[in-house]
Amino acid sequence: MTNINNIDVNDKENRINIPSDNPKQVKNNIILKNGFRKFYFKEFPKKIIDIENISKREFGFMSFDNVMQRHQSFSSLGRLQAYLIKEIPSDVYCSNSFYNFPTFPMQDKQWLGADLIFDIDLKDLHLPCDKSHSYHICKKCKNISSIEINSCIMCNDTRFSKITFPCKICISSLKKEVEKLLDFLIVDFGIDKNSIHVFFSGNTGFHLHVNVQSLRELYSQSRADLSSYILGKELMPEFFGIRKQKDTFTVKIPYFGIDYGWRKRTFEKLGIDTVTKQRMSFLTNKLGGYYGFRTKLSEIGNELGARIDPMVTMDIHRIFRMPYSINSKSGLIKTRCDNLDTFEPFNDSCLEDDSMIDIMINYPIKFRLKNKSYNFDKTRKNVPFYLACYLVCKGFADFL
Amino acid sequence: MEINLGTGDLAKYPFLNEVSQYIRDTHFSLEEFDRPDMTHILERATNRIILEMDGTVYLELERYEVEVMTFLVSLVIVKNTAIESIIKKFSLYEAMRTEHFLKNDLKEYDEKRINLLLSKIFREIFKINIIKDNPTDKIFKMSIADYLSRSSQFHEREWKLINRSVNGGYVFLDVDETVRLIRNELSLLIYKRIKEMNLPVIPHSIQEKSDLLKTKFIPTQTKGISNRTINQYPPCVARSIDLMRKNENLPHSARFLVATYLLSIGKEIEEIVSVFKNAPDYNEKITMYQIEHLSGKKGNNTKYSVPSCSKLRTENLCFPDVFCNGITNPIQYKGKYANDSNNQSK
Repeated sequence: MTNINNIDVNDKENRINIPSDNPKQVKNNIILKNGFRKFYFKEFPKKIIDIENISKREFGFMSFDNVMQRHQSFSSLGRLQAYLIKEIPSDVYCSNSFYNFPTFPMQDKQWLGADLIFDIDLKDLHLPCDKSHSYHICKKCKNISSIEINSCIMCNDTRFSKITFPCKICISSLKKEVEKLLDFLIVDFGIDKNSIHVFFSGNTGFHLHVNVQSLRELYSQSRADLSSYILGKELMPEFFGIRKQKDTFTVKIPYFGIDYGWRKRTFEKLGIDTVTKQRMSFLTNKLGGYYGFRTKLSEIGNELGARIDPMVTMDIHRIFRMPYSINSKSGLIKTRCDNLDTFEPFNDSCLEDDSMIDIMINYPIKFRLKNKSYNFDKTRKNVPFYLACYLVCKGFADFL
Repeated sequence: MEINLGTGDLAKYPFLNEVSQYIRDTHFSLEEFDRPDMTHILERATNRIILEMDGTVYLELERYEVEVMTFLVSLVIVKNTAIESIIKKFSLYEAMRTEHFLKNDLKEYDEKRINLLLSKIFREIFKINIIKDNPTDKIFKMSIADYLSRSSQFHEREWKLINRSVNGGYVFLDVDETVRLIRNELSLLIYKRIKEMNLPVIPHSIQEKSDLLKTKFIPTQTKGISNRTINQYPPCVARSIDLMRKNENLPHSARFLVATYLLSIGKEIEEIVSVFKNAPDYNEKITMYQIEHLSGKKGNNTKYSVPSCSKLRTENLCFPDVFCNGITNPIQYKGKYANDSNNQSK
């Protein structure tokens, strides 16, 4: 029953695996489940409008005991909601693919197509601020360390989950990557922006879902190629008219001009507006010949490409976090983001429930939620449920 | 004014629907090939097949009545051999012949004729909407989805989307590139035509030619690796080798898997090359070079690794069996197979 091969990599790696007989965890789970049930009963139906072709999609659920159940299917949104209220999974996943038989084993499902999906995650941006707001939680005893250690000082276990509290720089960097991705999708790929749905993942990234019929039919290999385009990987000097010839190079002006796509981006970056043989020769020599030019292209591709996770995009059998479901790594909702500029992930994605509840903070922590900054010591606190849920899911607090 | 295909077009593109109509209209029957005046056509058809089996694209072009008949007889002779490797190779080389004519026509014809060919060949037969971007230039564009679903079969980096001019949902291509993209489909179209043919009675003259081809081009058995050994390979590798033995044109990713796997278990390069012998586009020199390159003996001395199971899954090349449980790379299969088989027999 446990099959977590094709879910978000982070979900596998960063799940805190507390034995379910741990009394604190048992209590946390009971209260969280209650809060999640309230959400799926009250808030969820107000947020979600439709899941296109719901009966053709595969659903997967992670339980609070860390058991993954895949190959589920629902004929309507109402039936899905009823299931969520009854079973209260910690996380809900839905396939980007459509199948004739979504409940069958993978080889018998009969694949019909898949939405194009993208994942932009903080872990792929390698920001310098990361260390200042990241923590390492022992998967066994939940002990928290602000520095990376090899084994837990409390229980010697070597398995850790990395928990991060994204700062303003993190969010603005993520948004920049989303903007770059949108530029590729709209300008280069000609996709109508109404067919692109941007979501905050509920934790440390953004998810983009593209619903375009012609792209749904693409297999993995084609999606991998599409990903390389967006990542700016494998640009060849030949595409810019520079050909290798023994120890030197030749220049042939590109046949299709430099007005769009990666040629336009690259030439703009190199400060070239009109291309001539002499100019290209001069530039290539300046960069160190053919190989120097190739190195420069690799740098430009890296800088101008959008940092998507290619494994997510090329996987056509993935179950992806379902829009408007709760992310149990943060207690925040995977929320649609219509205006990237004004969207505030840690304001717009919180649960509504603000009933007060007691928690014990496990580790001193500074963070911002619903437009308020907090600086908590390791102490008992009476806080709104949405905040308690955030800290408990992050592993920084327990319910009392 | 409506522009119709000329007879010259029927000669060059004998798979067009208009040609089928022409043959129906002539009420031609296969028995007529036993007539002495048909010898010329029979000889032409046989030479065409022999040349293509030897790896040369047949580019002769006569008047359309001759070409259409030659094509038809070629199909019948090839079908009657019932040898898969001959059918596959013939289909591929006929596709390359079409490619040659189509490239020239799209470069030389006037605007209206170009649009007619785009409509008759690309749109009607292959359902690809190719648009001529600019009346003065020979630049074509096709949707990104159409492009990617074809280009992903090529492994050369120049076909990667990033090394293409892309804008507004379209990929811009010159004539040669546009035509090259449909080679596999052309080949498949001809292959299907052969397979779907119904031959109730075979005239003596055609039987003779088919027999000649059978003796001349009897398929090469894959040497060196026995069926028993292949059965112990991971199912992904075994399946690809099996398909290759059946003359399937495998994608680059599957060929890469087979070559890197066989290298990783210490097979000699010559032995690996022989595995690829039944591929319709097999060329010993190129195959040898590519395998030497993968082994690190040629090129930049990089020895390529066997792709991981997760990579193979994304490439739709993974067909797991019970021994695959818990492995992350096909190279771990052998040990698991030996271990689990021993345990089962205990």
